[in-house]
Amino acid sequence: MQTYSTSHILEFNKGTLLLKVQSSNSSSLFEQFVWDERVGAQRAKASKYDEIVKVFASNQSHRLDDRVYKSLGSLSNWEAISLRTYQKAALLNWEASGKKGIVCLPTGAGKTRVAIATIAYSNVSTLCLVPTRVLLHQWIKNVHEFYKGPIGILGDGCKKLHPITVSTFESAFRNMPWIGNCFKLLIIDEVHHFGNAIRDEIFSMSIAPYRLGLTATRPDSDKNSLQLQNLQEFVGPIIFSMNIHDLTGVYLSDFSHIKVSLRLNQVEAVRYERESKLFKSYYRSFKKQYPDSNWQEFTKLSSLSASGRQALAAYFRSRRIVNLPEAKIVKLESLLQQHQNCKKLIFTSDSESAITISRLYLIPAITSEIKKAERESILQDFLQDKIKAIVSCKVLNEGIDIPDAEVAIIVGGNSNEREHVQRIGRLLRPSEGKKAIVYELIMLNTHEERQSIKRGKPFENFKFNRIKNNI
Amino acid sequence: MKISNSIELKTTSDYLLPVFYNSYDKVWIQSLLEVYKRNVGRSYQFNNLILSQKQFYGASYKKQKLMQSILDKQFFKSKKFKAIKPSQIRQFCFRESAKTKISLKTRKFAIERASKHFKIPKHAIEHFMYYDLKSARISIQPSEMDDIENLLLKANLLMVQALLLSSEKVNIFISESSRPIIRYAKWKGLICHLLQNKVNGITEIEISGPLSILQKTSIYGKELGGLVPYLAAMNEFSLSAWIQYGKQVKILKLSKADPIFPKQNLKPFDSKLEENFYKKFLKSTDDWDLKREPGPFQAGHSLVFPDFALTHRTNKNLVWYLEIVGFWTQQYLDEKLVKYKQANINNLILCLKESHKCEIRDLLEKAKVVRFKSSIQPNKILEIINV
Repeated sequence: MQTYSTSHILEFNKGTLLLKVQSSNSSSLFEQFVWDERVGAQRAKASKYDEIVKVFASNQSHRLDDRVYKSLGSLSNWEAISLRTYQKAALLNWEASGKKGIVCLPTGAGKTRVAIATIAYSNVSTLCLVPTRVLLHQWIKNVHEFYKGPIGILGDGCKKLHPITVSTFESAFRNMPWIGNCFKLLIIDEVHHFGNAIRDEIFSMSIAPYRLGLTATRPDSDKNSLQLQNLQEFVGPIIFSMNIHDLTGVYLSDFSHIKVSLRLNQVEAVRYERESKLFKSYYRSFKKQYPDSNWQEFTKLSSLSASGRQALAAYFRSRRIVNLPEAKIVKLESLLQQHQNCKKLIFTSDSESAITISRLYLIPAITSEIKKAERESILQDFLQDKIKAIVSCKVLNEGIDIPDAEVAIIVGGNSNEREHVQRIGRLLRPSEGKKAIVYELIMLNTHEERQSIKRGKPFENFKFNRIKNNI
Repeated sequence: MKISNSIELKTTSDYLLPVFYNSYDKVWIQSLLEVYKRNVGRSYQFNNLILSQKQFYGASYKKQKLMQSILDKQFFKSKKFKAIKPSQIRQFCFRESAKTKISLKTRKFAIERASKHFKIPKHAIEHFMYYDLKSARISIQPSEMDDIENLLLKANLLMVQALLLSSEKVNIFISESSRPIIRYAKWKGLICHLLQNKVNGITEIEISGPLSILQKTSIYGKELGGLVPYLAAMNEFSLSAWIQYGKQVKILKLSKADPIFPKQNLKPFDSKLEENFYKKFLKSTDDWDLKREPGPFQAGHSLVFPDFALTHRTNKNLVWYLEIVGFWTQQYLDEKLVKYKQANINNLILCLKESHKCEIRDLLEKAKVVRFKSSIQPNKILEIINV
């Protein structure tokens, strides 16, 4: 019979683990724990749970009364899930890397399918984290296709837990101190939102030993190395990666990329010039004074002086001129007419432009202010061909399934590569004989030329059609 | 977002010193208020555009922005639409427009059809199409407006709470009962650690979150900020908060002398149940005002304080009182009902938890009982009071 010198109780306590020693002769402390004098017990991050249990299992002199995991029931009622070759490979890699890691696949390549297969394969309680409320409902729908049991919801006014629960990032962040012990697998959609210290506590407060991150853009360029390091710690390394080039034509739709260069009209050009000049002269002198400063420092310091504030205001005015000038409106109208019978997505750089286009051409806008029911109704109308176009600023950038859009018109954007890849990815969900077209409207002699080059880097070596200076 | 980007601050090597709004700010706040009053009836977008071009003399950029956000909340409240929802107008117009080739001409026809369908003029279709969005929201003169002094105090409280968002723990020295503070902290899942108990009549409590000793975290910042209004009731206190400021940790010190307690600041809610009901009710109707803790009412030799008073906006004589009974005994309930009877509060709505096994004895004639599971649905209350 096994005899133990010390007996311990391990409990989940508001997103952490508390270890209470029952016998008084214990002096050994485990490296995962810190003495918390506030409560007179050893405390550890919940994410160390698996490690701690293993340490106890290998330690003969300590008995553990494990009261951490709270079962929400078992998973049953799965239907068969068919996977493509690369999806199977992703799942196998995840298994081989200790059931932790990040899968990078382009939009439309079936990341959600990989995730659902992972849940079915693991068959353990799972918390799926998604960035928005729209995606919350989309995920529930997708999981329901293969899993006929109840699905929990956390977010959008609902708080219902089941062995498979889908939650928005924000709700998970707020509720993790109370639900962190209920799930053994964490699936994190659009995982690139993490690793920057914003809401990263989610990972420390969950006991889940198995973790799968999903993203369409690899978070491992130089500037993101710290983020990647953090993600490796929280979710695991990148275990599988494919890009648009690898899948286009076979698993993703082929597409043409057309850059349409336009010019500001005379009045707009004069205004733009004036505003830019005002901003640039201040910015140059600022840069001379603080050569190593970044944009945040610039905005911070310039807001302290009247001339700085004027420069900043001029900067924003210049942006507004270029966001939706006359030439873009004219070109947009002709493109809408040219592709009258195709389904179109229009992307703008700000909500104001999206609403303006919506008003002008009576095209539904999906912005953060449009509520869930209306958004769903718009997407439903789009699916059923009742409407032919949707305009959006950022809401359509990530994740939302739009199965058969064929034309994207990028009226405005920023220099973010990730956003650009995500936007183009909206069109690439395959269908028979589909050939997508991406139009990028760029105002010549403005900051948009630079932005377009910068955000287009991931597509630099692309073999697809590219028509430049098509004025 | 960095806190220094939104809050006017001074820093020393160890401390954060918020630059509070003071009497010198009153002049420009008055001018700012005038702009809001002048723009009553105009859209949020218009008001914003006007203000983006204005820098008031004596106002710093950050202070002006923060004050604007306070006034925005008072002047641009969301509005509910009862007849035709803007989303219905939009859906109709978008579907109509999609039937023909997109152009400015066909747009005109779609608007005309919408006008016939909804039986309202074309200009109204244009006007209401995006009327529900914040950018298109129309400014309304608030029924109860804060005076400038109170606006200053509200802004200062917001500044302090914004700073506390980046805090990991606070230490509070108080000479009175620390019960309300501890009750709030426990309710929010924080840990209260008594560092020194009643030395020279002063108690020192450290309040932090469970994870705080294991890693840097800002997860408890919102809850720590929520403590501040509870300190208003203290005659004397001193608070130190450790704030993550860039890569450093700096200390924020607050005391009773700081101008951070608005005069009409609402007493914090007794429970999440009350708080949720308050928020949900205000969202679900435009016809009724909800006042917390009205009274007191004389009930024999004692007093009674209902949880809420619901007053009709146009008919101020129409008032209902609402009492929420969460987890109490039969005796407590009986005593409460006797008090209401003595106070002659007839139009009383008693909200009782479904799991509550108590009997309702001796209820006043007009009083109503609403049973609830975990939260009180405003619709049930509205059904009673709208009759």
